[in-house]
Amino acid sequence: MSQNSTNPAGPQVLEADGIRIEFGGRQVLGSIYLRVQTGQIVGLLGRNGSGKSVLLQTIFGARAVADASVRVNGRRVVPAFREPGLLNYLPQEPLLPPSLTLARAAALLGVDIKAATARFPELRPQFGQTLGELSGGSARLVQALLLLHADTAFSLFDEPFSGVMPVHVETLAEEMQRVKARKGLLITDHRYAEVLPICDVVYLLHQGRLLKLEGDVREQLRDYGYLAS
Amino acid sequence: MLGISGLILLAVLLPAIHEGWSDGLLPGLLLTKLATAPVVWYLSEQLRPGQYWFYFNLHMSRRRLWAGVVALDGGLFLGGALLMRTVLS
Repeated sequence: MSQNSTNPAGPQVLEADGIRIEFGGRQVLGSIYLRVQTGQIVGLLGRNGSGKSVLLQTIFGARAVADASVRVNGRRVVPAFREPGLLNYLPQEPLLPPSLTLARAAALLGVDIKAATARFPELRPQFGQTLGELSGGSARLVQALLLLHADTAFSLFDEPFSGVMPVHVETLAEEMQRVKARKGLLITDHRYAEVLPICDVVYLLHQGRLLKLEGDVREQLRDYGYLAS
Repeated sequence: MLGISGLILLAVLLPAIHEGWSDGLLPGLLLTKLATAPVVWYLSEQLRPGQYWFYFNLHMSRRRLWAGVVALDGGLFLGGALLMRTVLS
């Protein structure tokens, strides 16, 4: 499924719609249509509590939502995470079990950890350590890198830049742009200054609706109250 | 985990009651369940909800994760119950 570069049928398209979620009588997600294509980085922005994480988890398949439709090239894939090579998901919380070393986790995910961290040589001495033994920023970075380099057609990243130091954010963003040649990335992160330049498509979750922003994205983000100035 | 343990206990106890050979069986079964519970508790802690994300990324569902725990719980308990029966007979 994931060999987009060798897929004679061309790019793969991940689509999600029909997702309606309420919490305590308040509709968090209502009118949703989202599309990610291999070869694209898609940004998902929204205020705190707007439902970004819930949307990613629903697409991933970890959250069962009646009537939710997630499709790849028109074929329904619910729950999507059950399909090997289709997609992976970086949650906001720690991903790796505390007892696993980075090297072991990478092996289980089918990732060559040396290749995945090639541009971050300072991570190399830490392959034998567990996630809890790393600094918060390094832990976040290595988790993002493992999923980015995993052999899936799509990666869903919830706050991948959170806690990562600026020099690594820049390199990670470059890595994302390099890897997008073979996969589609859906990223939500409040560090919009880093996210916007690498995105091919930007969506904004606003009052339960998913809006595709075109044209002057920053101006629209200001209009919808996501940016102050 | 309590619910799963209770169901496993009942699965052994109810047929015994139905077949009329349950006298004095309950305390022994409870002790056996208590002896095997720490192992199962440890494993369920290893698979606790905070770690689901990793296993989801390995394409494993909650049902599959818990099926292994239930099978191990049942197997240990049955093994313990058989051992108890052998020792007591």
